[in-house]
Amino acid sequence: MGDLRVSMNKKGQVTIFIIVALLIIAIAALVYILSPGLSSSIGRDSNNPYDFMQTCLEDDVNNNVEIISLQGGSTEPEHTYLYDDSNIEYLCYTNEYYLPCIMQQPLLKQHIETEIKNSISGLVEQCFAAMGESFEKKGYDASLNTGELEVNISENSLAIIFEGYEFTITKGETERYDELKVELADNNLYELIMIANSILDWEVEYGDVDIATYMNYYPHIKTEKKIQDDGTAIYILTDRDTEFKFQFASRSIAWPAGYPQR
Amino acid sequence: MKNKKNILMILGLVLIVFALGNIYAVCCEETVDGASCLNVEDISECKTSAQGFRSDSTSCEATTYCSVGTCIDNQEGLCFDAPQTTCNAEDGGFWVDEYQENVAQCQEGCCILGEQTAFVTPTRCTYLAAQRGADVTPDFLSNIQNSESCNALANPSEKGACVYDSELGRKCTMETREECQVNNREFHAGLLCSAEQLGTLCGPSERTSCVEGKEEVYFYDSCGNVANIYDSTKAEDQNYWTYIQEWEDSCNLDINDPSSVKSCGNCGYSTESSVCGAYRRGEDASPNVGDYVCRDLGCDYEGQDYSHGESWCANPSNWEDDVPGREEIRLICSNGEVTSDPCDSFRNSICREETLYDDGTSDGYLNAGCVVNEWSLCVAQNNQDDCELIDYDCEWLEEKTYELFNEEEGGVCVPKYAPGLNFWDESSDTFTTCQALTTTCNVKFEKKAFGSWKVKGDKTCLEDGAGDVDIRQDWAGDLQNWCTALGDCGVKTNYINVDGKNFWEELFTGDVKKSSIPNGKSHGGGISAWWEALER
Repeated sequence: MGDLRVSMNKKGQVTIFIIVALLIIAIAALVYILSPGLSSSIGRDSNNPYDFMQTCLEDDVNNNVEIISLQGGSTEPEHTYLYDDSNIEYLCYTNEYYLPCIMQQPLLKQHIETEIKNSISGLVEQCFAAMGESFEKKGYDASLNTGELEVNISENSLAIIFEGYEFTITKGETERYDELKVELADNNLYELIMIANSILDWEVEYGDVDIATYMNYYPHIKTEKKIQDDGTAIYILTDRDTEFKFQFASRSIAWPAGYPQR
Repeated sequence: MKNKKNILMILGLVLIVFALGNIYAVCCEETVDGASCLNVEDISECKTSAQGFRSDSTSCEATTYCSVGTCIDNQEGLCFDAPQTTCNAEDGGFWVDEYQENVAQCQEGCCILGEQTAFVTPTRCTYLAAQRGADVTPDFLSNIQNSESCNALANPSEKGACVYDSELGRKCTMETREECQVNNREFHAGLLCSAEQLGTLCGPSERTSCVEGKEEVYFYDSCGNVANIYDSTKAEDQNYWTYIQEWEDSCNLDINDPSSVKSCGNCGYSTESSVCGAYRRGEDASPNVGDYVCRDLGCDYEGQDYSHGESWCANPSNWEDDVPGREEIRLICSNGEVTSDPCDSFRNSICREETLYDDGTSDGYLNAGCVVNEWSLCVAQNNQDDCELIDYDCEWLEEKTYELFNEEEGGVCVPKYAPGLNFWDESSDTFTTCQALTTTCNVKFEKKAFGSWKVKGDKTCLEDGAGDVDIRQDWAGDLQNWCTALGDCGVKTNYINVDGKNFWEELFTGDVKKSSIPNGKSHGGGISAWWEALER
């Protein structure tokens, strides 16, 4: 009887182990299915140049875009206001009192596209080199014809386009990949830039902006204005859904402290 | 007394002189700091021609490269007031030496994009249409002159049930007449896919959700088509699942009434300070049907409720409160969050609030803004009527001694909201500002027969008597009020209750008793009044 009990206990344990194992597999499968980010990253086929470039560039580009957005649209801003330990670029500025500011970057979207492009051009070369190497290790002959790197910020997307690039791999037969492109998750940068443009328009015209009007018109964008002692206004635009920020500085129609004298 | 009036006049004139006298000699295309088109005092502040930048000994407005014209962004269809040098042609910029109103490409009109409208330039209209895909053909109406008229042209196309046959039965989607008829399908204007008479596979369901671009909670039918605005009392009403209801015929939401929130999905940013969102346990009222609810976007601030979009002043003040460092702050309730919007530093602008009523029954809607503090006008006013004109931010300060500033009027005009001064900056004008308020009181003493001294004649500032006479308390008080009202002068404690460095006793100088002067400390830093007994 004693042996039988032991045997029963062992069988019971095995059954429990099997059930636990099945549960773990089921949970893992559920997580894999329900988490699109996880499934796509695990499921990426490194034999696919499109996926390779996306994986290689995505995180670094996102990081660069975030830095550029927090600094007023430039990787290394020159004319800045130090706010909260960040150098924020003036997009509209006057050094005089009582006068409206002069627009410093009227073509802001294009300027940011150029800044992103310059910040990732080295990275793009590295990624293409790594991709070629990766395919060569798998026995392919790989070659690359380079073209023009383009960054395109538009409604709902930020895309890195490899215009004229052609990546070729040969192993018996030749496969050509052109129209290579990396699309980033939408961070609403386009809308933030357009709102910044509108604010700058008002700064040039009137020297001030009513942020409540902007928040009423764009309720999903938090608009903040932090006035500084010298009359500089730091604008912080935050997408409420993604928490993505675009910040910039402006100094327009500033008033001196107290009774002006010379 | 004439001297004092002159000082006040000079203070006023200084404002004008400063504005006119602030002239810079050189225009930099780019400064060494990287700023474009700045007027500076010295050419050494400009980047050089070797670096590829121009500079001229004239104002920027007089140069070709820095005078402001219109920069046209041909890619996005936007126009900006900007100097030529910042309007980069490589980035798609095209600069013209004209005001925007004179540039044809910058003239805005009404852009009709399907059911939507936008008041934009023709190029922008084309750009927006391209962004919306090949289905949208833009129509640009240049004769529409403002955005309100343009918005009124937004004309949602007639919608209805679009029915077609499939192997499984009659399927249905909600579409416009044009979209439906392009595919040669049956269009039923004003009907929902769940309408029984259509005999489709679609029927009522308990599913609700938000719709992109809309603020309300909507019912969805069993095929996943958007139906009418969520109203739990009509969840089983066949009529409600048959006809498209107009917005104004839908339920009325009261966001402050939990039972209304549970049953009605007619949210709106402007109407009910609410928007559609997934139900959050513990935060929202649980909906009677489905998982979506109108989320309250109002704010609770210091025990008071504010609606989405309301703004108010955090610290209404008068000049006695305007201590160094204090700034006015406007608060805004937006999306359930209170955002602070400080007014200009040094109290150059102040917060004003008003209550707006859209009808006689509502509680009103608070609206605040930072407006320019017109304190600088006060010093030039020399009678009470002018001083208290509502357009000025001035206050009439009654004097007890009547003789200091304006003998006839018995008072002096001071800012209602005292301006701040950057007294911590030694190169600033604060010291001279406060020193300009220096008052000298000349007193004649007469030597009596036995050698003692006695005040003779005008007794504005000293008590009557002989020997060690005291400063008149009312005279000292008038001066103290005057200088603290005019700015961060005199003896003040700052906004975080830190005392300043000065004492009134030290600020009143002269070989007299000062026992009547009230004391305290100051951050003002300047000399508020300077008493000196002369001609003894």
